[in-house]
Amino acid sequence: MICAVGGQDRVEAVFRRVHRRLWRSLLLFTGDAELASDAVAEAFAQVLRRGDAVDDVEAWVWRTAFRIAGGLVGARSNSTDLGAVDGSAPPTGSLVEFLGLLGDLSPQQRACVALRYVGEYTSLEIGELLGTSASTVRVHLSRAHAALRQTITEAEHA
Amino acid sequence: MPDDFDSVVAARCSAVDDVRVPADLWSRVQFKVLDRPPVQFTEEEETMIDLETPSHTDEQQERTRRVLVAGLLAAAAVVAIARVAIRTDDPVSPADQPSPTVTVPVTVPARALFGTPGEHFVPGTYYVDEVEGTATPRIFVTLGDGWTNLGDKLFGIDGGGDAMFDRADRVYADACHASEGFHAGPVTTLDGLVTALTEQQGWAEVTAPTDVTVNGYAGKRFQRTAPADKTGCNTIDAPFRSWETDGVGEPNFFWYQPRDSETLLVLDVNGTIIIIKTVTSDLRENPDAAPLAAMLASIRIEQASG
Repeated sequence: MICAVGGQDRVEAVFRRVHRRLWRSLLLFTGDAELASDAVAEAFAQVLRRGDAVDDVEAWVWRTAFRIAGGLVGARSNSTDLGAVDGSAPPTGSLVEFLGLLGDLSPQQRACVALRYVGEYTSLEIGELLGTSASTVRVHLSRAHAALRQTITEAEHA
Repeated sequence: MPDDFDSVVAARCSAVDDVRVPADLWSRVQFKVLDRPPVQFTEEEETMIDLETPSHTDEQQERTRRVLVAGLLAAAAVVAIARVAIRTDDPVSPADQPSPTVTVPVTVPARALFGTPGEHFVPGTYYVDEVEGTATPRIFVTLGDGWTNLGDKLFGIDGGGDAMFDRADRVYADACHASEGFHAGPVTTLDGLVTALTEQQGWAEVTAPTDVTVNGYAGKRFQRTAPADKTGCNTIDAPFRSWETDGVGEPNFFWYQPRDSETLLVLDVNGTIIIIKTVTSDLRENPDAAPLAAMLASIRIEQASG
């Protein structure tokens, strides 16, 4: 076993507590259920391999999962794959539409929206997770709001 | 109103709560662990490596960095070749006159500041030639180590603060209470905008503006500090709003947090009033403002022709 039993228990406890919120945040960020699953699994696998070297497992996993997801998003096509992943129910209707709108945002804006509204993190916490400042996070959120407001308004009047 | 729209976005995002999360995620974790051989991480590797699989973004940045270094080395080689001194004791005809020693200064062309979000800037000189959609003469800035393109026209320094170029179309009368409306202005002149920004209510501290000149363009420089107590200010997450800038869609504004400290350099560039600002957060442990000050001091503006 790479990670000592006690270490795995610790990581698994974090997994049980955060994996749903993390997966849904990543779904919002990537627009792709499979990418979200892969990023979650890879992040937790990496922290297990590191054993007790990681103090704050929860913060480490969130930070790493979003970085992994960012890399996966950059590597894929622009299509949004919201098909059902094993054991999940596929997104429908308005969420699919909203995920499409989020696809027009920059990756930084999308990450901040996902972490703010699904991850339920503050601007300061988001800044720490993304390695930037709280003020930058707020600019990203402000610009995301501006873009979304326009596209949502246009969609409603279409 | 931004406050109402915050709830609109929250409502849209909450739809993701109805998506059932895959039940086999932990199994996928365990499979990934078993699929890779055990690795012993040194303490250095633990702090250096966050990803075992480098992202494409990281690879692109590394390639860009290598290209730039190669370019600098090539430029240095050109300089070495250009330093030529020919000496001879024989009488020479004019055609044979020895070439004077030539020293070609190494100049790396300035690059556009806002290229790829996430890009780590190579130390050097960069420029912008538009600010929030308004064309300007090129504004040059010199950056040292540690600066990053943060996206959304922000750039920042590790462990320090952030910087941006901006314009203001409207200035709130009270940064804490947007409902009070906007300063009467005008904000289309240097003095008018600086007056509106320094008279804006809600700040804990505002220094008196000092006159500055950058390449003949008149400007003013001053600092503002947000108060520690945001009780009663606009919204929890956006307690302070100073100015708005018209853009695509709704106006943009910069959200401040308590104790944010900013330095503003406001310049009249051929009638366009530019704001160059740096912001440090008091919430950041031991912020180093020196690189931000150095960046501001490096600002140069080309003279418009005609």
